[in-house]
Amino acid sequence: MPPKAPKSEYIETDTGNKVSRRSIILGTPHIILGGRTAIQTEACLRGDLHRLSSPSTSTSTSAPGGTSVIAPSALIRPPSRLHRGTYTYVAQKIGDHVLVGERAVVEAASIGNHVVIGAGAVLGKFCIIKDGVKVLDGAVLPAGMVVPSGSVVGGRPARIVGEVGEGWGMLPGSEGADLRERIRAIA
Amino acid sequence: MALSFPYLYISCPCASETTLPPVWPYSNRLSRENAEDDDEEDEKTFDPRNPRANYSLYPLEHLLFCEDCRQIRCPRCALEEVLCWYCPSCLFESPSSAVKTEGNRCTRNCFQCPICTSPLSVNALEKPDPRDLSWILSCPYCAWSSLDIGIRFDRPSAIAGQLLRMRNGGQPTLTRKERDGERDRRKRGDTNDAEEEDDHSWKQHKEIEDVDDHFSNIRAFYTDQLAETSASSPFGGNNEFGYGSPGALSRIMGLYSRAGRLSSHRPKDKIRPMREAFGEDEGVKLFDAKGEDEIIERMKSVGWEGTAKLEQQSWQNRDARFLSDLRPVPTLLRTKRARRCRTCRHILTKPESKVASTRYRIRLVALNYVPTMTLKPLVPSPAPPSAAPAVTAAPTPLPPTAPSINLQALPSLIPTQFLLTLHNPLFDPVRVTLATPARTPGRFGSKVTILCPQFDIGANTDMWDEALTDVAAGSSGSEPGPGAKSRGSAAGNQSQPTPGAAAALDAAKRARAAADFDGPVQAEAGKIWDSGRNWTTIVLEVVPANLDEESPSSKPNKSAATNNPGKHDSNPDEPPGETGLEEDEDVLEIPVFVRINYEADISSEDEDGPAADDAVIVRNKRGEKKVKRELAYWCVLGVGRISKIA
Ligand SMILES: [Zn+2]
Ligand SMILES: [Zn+2]
Ligand SMILES: [Zn+2]
Ligand SMILES: [Zn+2]
Repeated sequence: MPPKAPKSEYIETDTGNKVSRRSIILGTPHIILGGRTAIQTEACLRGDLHRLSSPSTSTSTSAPGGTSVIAPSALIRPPSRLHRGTYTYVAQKIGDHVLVGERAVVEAASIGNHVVIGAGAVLGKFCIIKDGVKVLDGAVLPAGMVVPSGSVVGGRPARIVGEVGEGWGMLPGSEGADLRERIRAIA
Repeated sequence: MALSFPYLYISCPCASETTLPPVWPYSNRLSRENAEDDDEEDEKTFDPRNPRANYSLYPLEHLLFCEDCRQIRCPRCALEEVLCWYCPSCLFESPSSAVKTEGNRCTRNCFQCPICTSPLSVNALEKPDPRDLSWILSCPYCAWSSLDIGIRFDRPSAIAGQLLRMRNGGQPTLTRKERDGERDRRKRGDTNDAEEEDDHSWKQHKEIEDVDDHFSNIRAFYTDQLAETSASSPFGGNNEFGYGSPGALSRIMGLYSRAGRLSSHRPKDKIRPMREAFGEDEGVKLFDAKGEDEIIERMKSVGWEGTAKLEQQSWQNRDARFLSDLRPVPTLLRTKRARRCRTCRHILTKPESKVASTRYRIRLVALNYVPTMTLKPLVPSPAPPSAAPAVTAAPTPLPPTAPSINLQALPSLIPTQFLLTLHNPLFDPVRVTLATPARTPGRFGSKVTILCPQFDIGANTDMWDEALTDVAAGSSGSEPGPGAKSRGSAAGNQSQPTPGAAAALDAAKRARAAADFDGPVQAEAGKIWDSGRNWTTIVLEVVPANLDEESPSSKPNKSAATNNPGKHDSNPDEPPGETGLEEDEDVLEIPVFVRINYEADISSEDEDGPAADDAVIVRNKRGEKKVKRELAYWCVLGVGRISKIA
């Protein structure tokens, strides 16, 4: 690899998304980026996974919402299950101002707004993360776990270990807050 | 877990009050009167290493603010009120009446794994014959399933009810009616042919022995006793207050009974002590050596792996020594809570009581009243003169070659400068006074100097002002510092601060103009570094302590610590050094005392009601009536970890 990239690492789209040239995004037609979302180095988004029997239907969309950050080496893939003999992928939804930490693996069905997912956390298949949740570093959420809004979860397997403060997400620059500044700083 | 620097914790002022207003207004008046005599507490420097500090330091977003007391409120000085109970797994609300009768656990399909606490999922057990479907609870984390304890369900819904009617292994439990009938039958049987049935009935009892049976037996016995004693008796009772007295019993049983209180209306003068329970049918469980042997035998056969951990046993609500005794644990409900000020009882936060809603009806969080502080290392301006033009060009990013400061390893004894930025959330300009001890408390004192301890911050006016100012100044950088210089001065001109603030801004501008001539910008004592619409940045200089040398001022503390058996100093011969460092003693934490003064618009409360203690009504130069307000508190800046001199 050259010591310094001649071009900027990030491609900026019309809607303000910043996508690293070194990220891995598969099945782009199935992925909707909400705008002003940053996908960093070696992060991987899998939009290519869908039901094999009917590949025409776009049932499998991985959709990070607006103003979110997918940190380096994170993996986002739609949840899947064997249902009546067919292996099915289900659409995944990620809200606004979501920070997916480095090396995190996300197979959740949905993630709300103002959610922070710690580095190395694993969100099992069909997890549902409500608004204003903090997932501690290295937490492992078993498949299907529901995390109510305002909770802090951690541990392996993850349990609710606390609550975020009432001011969660209101203080600019703090955890769970508006990520616009942070995305602006990414270059 | 590794600390992430920098951080800011605010010490709730209630920490200096040794007693708080009582939870219930009518209790505990005495302690309140005693609490008036510790004013000297305020004079002391706040020590973040004091064990008590742990109970008063909070991140800003966890703190609330009472508008009536004009004071910060933390979990200690606020009261909680439960608004609703809900299950965190199915997000269904439980009415409080149900919580009282059914307990604080989900009564639907939500269970946790008895092995690992992961939420269990309900899965169909597929069989060749689709008509003979059954369902099980299974753990997606550790692969435990209810088949391990021999339980499967007929329906995928109302699992809690089905589980209640099944014991481990799949046999049905007795319903209450069946239990009562069984007991009556045995009672009659015992009187008829007690001798021949003795051994047989004992075994039968053993099999159905269960906590619920036990409770129903003892309950039935005492109900009978109450009925008997309430009938007229020849002896007058004076034993009303003993444990064995009918009154006490009916009260105690009412506590645990789901079916409500037992009737206890009977003439008071005709009480006699009741007889105690005797025998299995009356709920007495005798010690049984055979049972103990059985347990030991079972341990032998299942081995260590077959026994439950203490933690796992504690999640169960009955004795469960073996893995095969464990039951799925119903999910504990959680609550949505409102908070009130403990002093004046006004509501501070009140979320909407619907479970799905994340909105608040009332939310008085401290970060709307208290300036936020952010700390950044001041990257030394590049010294060579060739770099000077780069500084004047506004949006230039910092050169990548500039030495960055690693907060996890601050060099000892090397003066390091930090930029401390305060954002004002109030709609009035404020004057901030910062104070900090010259040496941080503790064995290794670091020297701290705030170059500009008193300064003004502009009001938090309309967001658009800043945006427009940005455009006017032609600067897009949001980084406060030398790069944003032109923007800072422009903002100072437009935001119309108080005369004091304007003077400070002018001074800063002049300082910077001078600095421009000299080349790189230097921090100057008594001058702010930069400012904008509602923020001001000052410089903080720190000389991190030498971790090989204890500061002399900490000696008295050390001797105090020697008395404390838990401290490191229990071994006085040990030289301070690698081994002599206590946990996180190398973390540089600076206690800062913050005082905020400002003049606010008069509210209707201040005009007619008696004003709060600190409210002084003044007239400003334009003749408007203003109320003077002050807020003061300690906070702790976690700067970084000091590295040892190599
Ligand atoms: Zn408090
Ligand atoms: Zn539930
Ligand atoms: Zn498990
Ligand atoms: Zn109050």
